[in-house]
Amino acid sequence: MVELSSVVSKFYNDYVQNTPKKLKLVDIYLGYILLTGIIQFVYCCLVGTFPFNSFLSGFISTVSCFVLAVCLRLQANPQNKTVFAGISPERGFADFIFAHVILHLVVMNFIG
Amino acid sequence: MLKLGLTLLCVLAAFGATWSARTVDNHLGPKDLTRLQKVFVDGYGSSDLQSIFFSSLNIQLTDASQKEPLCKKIATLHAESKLNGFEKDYYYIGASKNLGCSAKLEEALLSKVYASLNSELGSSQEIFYRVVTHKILGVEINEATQTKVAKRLQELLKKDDTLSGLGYAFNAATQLGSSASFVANRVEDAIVQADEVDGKLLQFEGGLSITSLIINGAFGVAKTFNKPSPVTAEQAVKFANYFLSRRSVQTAKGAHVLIEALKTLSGNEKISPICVQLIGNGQLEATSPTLNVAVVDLLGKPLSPAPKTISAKIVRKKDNAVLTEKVSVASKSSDKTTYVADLTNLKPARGIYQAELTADGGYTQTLQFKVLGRVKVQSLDVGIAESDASAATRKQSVTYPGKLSEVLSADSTQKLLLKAVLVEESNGKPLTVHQAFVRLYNKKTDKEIIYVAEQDSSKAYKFDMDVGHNGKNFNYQSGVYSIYFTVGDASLSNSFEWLVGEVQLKFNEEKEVKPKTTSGPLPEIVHQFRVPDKRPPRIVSDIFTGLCITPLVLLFVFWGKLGINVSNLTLAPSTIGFHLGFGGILVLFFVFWLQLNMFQTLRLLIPIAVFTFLAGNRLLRRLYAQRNSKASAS
Repeated sequence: MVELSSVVSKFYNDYVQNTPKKLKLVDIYLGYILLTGIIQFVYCCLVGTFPFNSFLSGFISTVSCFVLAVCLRLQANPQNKTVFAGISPERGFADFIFAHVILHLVVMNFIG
Repeated sequence: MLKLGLTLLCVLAAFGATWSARTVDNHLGPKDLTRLQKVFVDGYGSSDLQSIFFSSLNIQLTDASQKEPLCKKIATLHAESKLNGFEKDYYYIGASKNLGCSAKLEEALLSKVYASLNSELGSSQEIFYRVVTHKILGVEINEATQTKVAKRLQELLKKDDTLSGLGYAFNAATQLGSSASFVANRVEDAIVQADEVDGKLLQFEGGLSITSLIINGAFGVAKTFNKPSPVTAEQAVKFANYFLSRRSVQTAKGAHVLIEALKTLSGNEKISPICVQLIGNGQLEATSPTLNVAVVDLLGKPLSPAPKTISAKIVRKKDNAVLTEKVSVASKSSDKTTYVADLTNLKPARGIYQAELTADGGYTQTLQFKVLGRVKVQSLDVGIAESDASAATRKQSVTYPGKLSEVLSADSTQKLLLKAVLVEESNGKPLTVHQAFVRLYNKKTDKEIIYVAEQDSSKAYKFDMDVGHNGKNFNYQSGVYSIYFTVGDASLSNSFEWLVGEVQLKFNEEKEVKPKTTSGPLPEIVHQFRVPDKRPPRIVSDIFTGLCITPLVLLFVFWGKLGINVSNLTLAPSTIGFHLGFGGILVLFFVFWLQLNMFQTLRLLIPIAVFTFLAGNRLLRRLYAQRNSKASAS
């Protein structure tokens, strides 16, 4: 138990100290998306899926946003610079915005 | 035994054949003649040269005002006609002669006709028409030409021996005289080609006109060259039957040749069939049985010479009992065509009889007639009885044609009884009739029901109806019903329906059975939309909407804690443009959700997106440059 707490606290400290601020921002954003998705899922379990298209568009929207955000985080992470050579964080951000525009066009169409 | 049977059969067959020899059972009556007359009258009105010609042959036009236009009409019709030259020339010349047209026939036409006999004639049909045209014009054909034409006819007959070829040849030969006597040998060839239909009719292939052409020609040839009649008496009957079956012919030509052929057949005394038929409907009253028979030729004219004696053998059809071997059928003085046999002395009973008539000259005919009897109601009882026979029956007698004065009454535990004895009026014997019914009629509802009265062993007609069991037949409609007793038979002259009395019927189940209406429009089918699923209560939805927003608050809280670097947010136009553009896109999506459709959205999206792209591009490039310069500076 002590070990576990020490591992957790070490992990937390490491994260707080070594992770760039930008990535922390993205991480918080990810948490937000995750939480929203969970709430939607709970609602669906408690009340039902009707209207199904609205539920689906909302839930898919959260999942896709999460995926896109993870992609952004990967591309913006300085540790991955070697993997994404030639793709600057700015380029990643532009892609992220572009993908969102397309995604939400579809989501809005589907929401009914 | 078998031999005996066969002989008997042969005898019977021979007997059967003699039943009607040289007689037909029909003739061209006044009605038919009027109708054929009308065909000729209509023929004048038609625009067909042939019809006008045959009409003019049969009906003399007396009205001069009709003649002249008709003469002009046939001239034009002749010019336009698509018939063979020789045929239309004949019709034209014939019609104008018959009509007595004042205008002279053109010289060109006449010289063509005169010249024709000297040229090579193409068919026996052409020879016939050219020869008869000469005849109409009143021009004698000289001996030499006659011989030449007859020779040509002989040549043609060798090549063409079809029925129509032969038929025209016979008719032409009749005109040509002795030089054409060779055709007499061909008559038999033609007659044997006649087709027999059902053993009753004889006709030639090609119908009425061909049959008539050959018959007229054959008889003409026989007469001209003094030969025996070309057909036997038996064949003549069948030909006559065929012609009579074609009475309804509608064309002027058909009508003419039909009358001609019947005249030809009637004209030859040795073979001509006669018509023997009943006058009236063949029903004789038992009190005064007189058999009236018409004996006429095929055209409905009295025979000359009239048959001297006609006798009849009367046989009852049911059991072949011979009523009399010979009864004389005498000519009625007032009417030459009517012959009368008085059967009063024979006292024929009710029934169907056959009269086998024989006239001198070998004419026989079998006619069927009916002697009607009269029925009498000897007694009729009507009454009410208990269904379970617990009480005595109350019966009341009614005499024909009276009516029971009191109204009977029966309820569901009782039954209605009726018993009638029918006898023959002449001898008082009980009678069996074809139909004996009891009809119950409710005047109020105008409904009726009919029961059959059955004959019992004593030949009395009986009817009983259990009121309780028959309620369904009456639809449980209680009320006053009239009782009718109906007697009918084809061999009775006084069939009757008799109102016997009235009865009050009471059924136990007094219910109105209304017939269901089966017709009429069906109810309209209204489209049913799918019932929407049950939605959760408003408050639950609202709570979850709120819950979905809370992470957003958390997001800002955490971002705030982390400390967002807004210092980089310069007021450069690209920065403002990018944020405005992106915001615009999101607003557009929101509007799209609420009211726009996809196309409108895309049309608006494109300019905003381009603007945002350009602004974003500049912004990010600037940030990149900043970062690089920072990195290189550090």
